[in-house]
Amino acid sequence: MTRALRIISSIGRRTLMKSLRRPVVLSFSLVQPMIWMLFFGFLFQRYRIERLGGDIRYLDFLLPGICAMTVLFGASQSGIEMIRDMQTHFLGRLLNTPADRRLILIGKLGADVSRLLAQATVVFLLGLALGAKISPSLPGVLVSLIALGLFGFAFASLSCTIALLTRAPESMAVFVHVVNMPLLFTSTAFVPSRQMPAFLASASELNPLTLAVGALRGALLFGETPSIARSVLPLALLALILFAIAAGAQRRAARD
Amino acid sequence: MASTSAPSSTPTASGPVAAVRSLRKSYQGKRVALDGIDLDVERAAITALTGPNGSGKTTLLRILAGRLAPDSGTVSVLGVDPGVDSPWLRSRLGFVSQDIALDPEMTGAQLMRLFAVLYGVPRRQLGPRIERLAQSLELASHLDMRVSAYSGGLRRRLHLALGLLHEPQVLLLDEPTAGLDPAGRAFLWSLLKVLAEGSASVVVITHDLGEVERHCQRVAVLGEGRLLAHGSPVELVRAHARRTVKVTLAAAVPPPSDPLFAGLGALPGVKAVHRRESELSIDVAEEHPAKERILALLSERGLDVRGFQVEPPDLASAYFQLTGVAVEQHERPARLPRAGGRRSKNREAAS
Repeated sequence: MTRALRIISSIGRRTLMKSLRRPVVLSFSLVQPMIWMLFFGFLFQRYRIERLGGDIRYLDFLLPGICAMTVLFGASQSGIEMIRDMQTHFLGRLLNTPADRRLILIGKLGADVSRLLAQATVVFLLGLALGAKISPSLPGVLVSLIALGLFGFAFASLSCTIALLTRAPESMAVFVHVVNMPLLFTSTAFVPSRQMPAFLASASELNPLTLAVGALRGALLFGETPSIARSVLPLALLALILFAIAAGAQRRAARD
Repeated sequence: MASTSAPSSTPTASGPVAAVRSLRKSYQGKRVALDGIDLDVERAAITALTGPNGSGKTTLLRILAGRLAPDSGTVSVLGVDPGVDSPWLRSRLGFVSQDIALDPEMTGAQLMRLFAVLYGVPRRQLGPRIERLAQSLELASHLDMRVSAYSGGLRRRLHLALGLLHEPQVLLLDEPTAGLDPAGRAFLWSLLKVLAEGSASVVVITHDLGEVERHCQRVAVLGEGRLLAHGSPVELVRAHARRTVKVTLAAAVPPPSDPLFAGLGALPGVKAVHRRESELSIDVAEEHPAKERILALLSERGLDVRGFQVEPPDLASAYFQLTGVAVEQHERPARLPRAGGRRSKNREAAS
């Protein structure tokens, strides 16, 4: 294994180990999507979601949205571990080793994203247990998982940037209200864009969550393979930009 | 890619390993921490950095470690400016901060392995090196425990071990003996000695002047952000320390207005007289006045003498002369008078 991979995997292992040692947080991150799925799923089951195609019901439609929401909420808390590491002065120590600091960040974010995808998978299986019906295609699911992973990587980077700049645990709660909620309700996670008011529909097209949800929904419900150019590339670009900003914030955090 | 700045030419093996010139640093533009420091750090030696609280020691060390940027002045460590982001320098520099920086959720072994990877310790050397370090720091039987279960002393030793893992050429330690028991302190000093003999250059912040005298080749004394003295402990003692006559009285020492002080001050060779409760400290020149003359003065005043001893000049005395702060007063806030003799607030002087 090259030195870069050893650095990424060592940091990744530490990150995963620390999340697995917080079973309460892990299980709550599953309970929350379940509650949303139950409330929204059964509340709106009575209403007609127009022209979804086939015999798709609201719960089927909702499941990919809830999976992406699980990734979004998990990613938004990615910075909390960094704040803990700043409070114990441990981050400064990590960042003042000769290891390339971007590899340290990639290790942390990579571990967070794989955990989030695993959590989304559990939510997906729970959704199936609740009765959601799907007709997926394997290549479609693989491409949409990449899109979802990039989406998680981007927002985990943003969360880390906020953490590094504010150094305050409270900022992670603010993140949920300022970033997650607006993102969620201006996306197609719960409602198809054609049933939105016009301004919201056009906003939703620019929403990265819409891209991730759209890719996943197409792959799970309609067996489609998402367009790389329209879903993966824009999310990759967003992930790259937000990662670069986080890496810059991290470089500054290496100093007092 | 971060710059891999290495010195353009290898610094000479005999020159200083680090140097600072006209170094200034203030916090929020107000509190001056360093007020124009010039210092050369000797290669393959232990340099002690000492001085009262707030004298700028930690600021200086953090600037050397590249953790803090100075306001002005130049810094060079192994020929490189530590302010420039240099993985080359980071791989040769060990910094052990005063604050223990450990992840309480990890075990000692996990932390050692993680940092070995981050420092690029070759895989084949990793196991033996961790084992050797754990043995020498008496951590071996605790490596599989989480840090949260460690005692304060164990944490301090693991904190130190992580700073030594990559066998740095320059080791910067901020009060590493804090929280260690006497055996731990003795062990730490012997370890630093071994490292310096193995050609590492060590800079250590400490208040332990007895240990400095025994183990350090160089000592730099800081006060109010200035370098008050720098040299070998012997040089500092020769230049600044005084012989002290300590007299313990049965009752409290009379006030400075008492004729006793005028009498003592008039004795040849007496430099200063300090009083504290029932103790008189009389700083004297090398040829101190006869014991009998001091005792005679005391008995003239009807004072009952319980103890009388002559203390040879040592580093603690040199430190007091330089900083105006007695060693035992370290934990109290110290103010240094600029002129008119160096005296601490807690010791009234009447010479």
